[in-house]
Amino acid sequence: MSVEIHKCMNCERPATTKITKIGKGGKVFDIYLCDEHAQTFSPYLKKTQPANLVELLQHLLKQQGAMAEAAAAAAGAEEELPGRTCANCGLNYGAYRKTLLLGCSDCYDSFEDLLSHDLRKMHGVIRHAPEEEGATLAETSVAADAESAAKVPLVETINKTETAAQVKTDAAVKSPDGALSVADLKRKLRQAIDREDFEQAARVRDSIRMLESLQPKEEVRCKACNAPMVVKHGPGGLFLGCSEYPKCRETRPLE
Amino acid sequence: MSEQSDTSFTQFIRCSDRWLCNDGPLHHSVISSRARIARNLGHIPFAPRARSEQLRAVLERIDEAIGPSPFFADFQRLSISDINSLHRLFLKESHLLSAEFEQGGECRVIYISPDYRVSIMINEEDHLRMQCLDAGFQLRKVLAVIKEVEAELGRRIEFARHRKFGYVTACPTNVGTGLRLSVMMHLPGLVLVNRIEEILQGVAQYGLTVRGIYGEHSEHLGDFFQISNEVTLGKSEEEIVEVLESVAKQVVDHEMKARDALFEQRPVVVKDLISRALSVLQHAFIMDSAEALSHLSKIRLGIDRGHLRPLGHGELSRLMVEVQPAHLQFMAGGQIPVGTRDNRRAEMLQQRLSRISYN
Repeated sequence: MSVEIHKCMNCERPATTKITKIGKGGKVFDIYLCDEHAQTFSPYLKKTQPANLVELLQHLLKQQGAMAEAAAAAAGAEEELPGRTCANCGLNYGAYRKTLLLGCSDCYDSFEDLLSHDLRKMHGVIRHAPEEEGATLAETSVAADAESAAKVPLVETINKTETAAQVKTDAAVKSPDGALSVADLKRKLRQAIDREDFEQAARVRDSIRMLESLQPKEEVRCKACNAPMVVKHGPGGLFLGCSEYPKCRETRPLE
Repeated sequence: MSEQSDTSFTQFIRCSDRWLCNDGPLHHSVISSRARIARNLGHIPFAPRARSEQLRAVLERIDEAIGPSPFFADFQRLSISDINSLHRLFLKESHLLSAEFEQGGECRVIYISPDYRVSIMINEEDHLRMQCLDAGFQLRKVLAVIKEVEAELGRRIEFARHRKFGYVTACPTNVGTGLRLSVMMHLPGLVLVNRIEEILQGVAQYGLTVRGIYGEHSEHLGDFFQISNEVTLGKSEEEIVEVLESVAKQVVDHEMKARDALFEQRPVVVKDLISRALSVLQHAFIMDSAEALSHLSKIRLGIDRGHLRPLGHGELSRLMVEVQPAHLQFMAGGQIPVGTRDNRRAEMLQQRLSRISYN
């Protein structure tokens, strides 16, 4: 596993800011920018530009104060971070970050606290299964919760893709069985937000929207043969088609 | 584990792809199933950071564990530095060797079971990487086999384990169970009806990842997709196999529906597509392996519906392996310069497919 060093998408300088955007359908993409372009990208990343000398002085003073505060707060940790080294194999944490390869089994002890961030990103959790020895009760329930949450979308998403785009269908849009109710999804959404798993949350949100937009359509009937219309997927995207296809070829745009 | 003469060694390597040519369960859309477990010894640096003497110590410890065990008595022990690059590539094409091992390196050894289904790599990214492969959809079987191998080794070696993180591995992406399960799928139907992206996006939502035919960093060649678990931490092996199994089954269902739709609704288009692929393979004189694979993918679709008899899945799987560079050269009895290789491949395909037609 190797780690790329990203360049700014607008110029050749190394990127210092990574912005992860979640688009339609839960599609996730990353934007890499250098300091300068990051400022033009988002007002939140913009450094305040002082207009006159008085403001400049105030700004500088404020900045200094904030910096001193931050420095005091981060005291030891900030100093120690790049320099922390595994006592057994001599691997430096900074070196690990470059390759994402640890040096030895003891590195997991040496960098235990620092690894949480990567582990959460890679696995969604920061410790192993509940049956592992040494897990306390509270931790067990957290892990179990994460697992059950991870398991649920199995039914949802396939159902979702199934309803959204049928190659060939012989029935109306499947009436949502228990697993696919909006109330359930909303609960999932809350759980995902609680877990700060925003990517999952965005997907669940999309599922809810899709489900809500699909539900009233079940009543739509074909003008030609009065059979129920179903949502279909064609070259031009989603549309309503007669469930009697190919006997009846009636279609209608999806409002 | 016996020392073998040159010819029997060559013979051994030659058979290393045998497992791939059987027809396993759901062979119409699942080529193979694989389970891999990563384990390490405590305190000794992981292979990428270990010094020579440390690598040697790891090798000795594992050799000592494997040596006396009757379980491994018939395994073949190969030192990577003793195998020439063509043979290494051959083993990689047979999926027994990782890309990392194909590069060579000191104190790196691979043990291969007599049926070629199990291989144990020592001093790969982790000290120990054990894998089991089989044709078709057999996730539970390959997992059971590799757990047996792990248990057997575990009797003599203590694997490094962290109280909070489970089994430790060089890369934290493998920590926890150290288990990577994968299925190699052939999904031409979904590609043709333009649903592949949507399905693969769905797959990604279960903590599974999709790769090309040769694993990490490989391209999607000829409609072949490898689906594997991404998450190894916080999940039991049972949960991992359960999710992958059920998702893969659903993908198979979608694939079958897509194929039904294609053959029922657009029979001429499909016939045209398959016949074109066949014609190119029967008449072309220059053919690189990627192009060959993409045509063979279409042929496979035709075989599935019985349109290309007497050609069967087993024979096609053989062809898919034999168009690979090392296999092609090995079958021809030695190195073939790059310039003439594509010609040799094309002629081999012409010959092997000469009597097949769409019916």
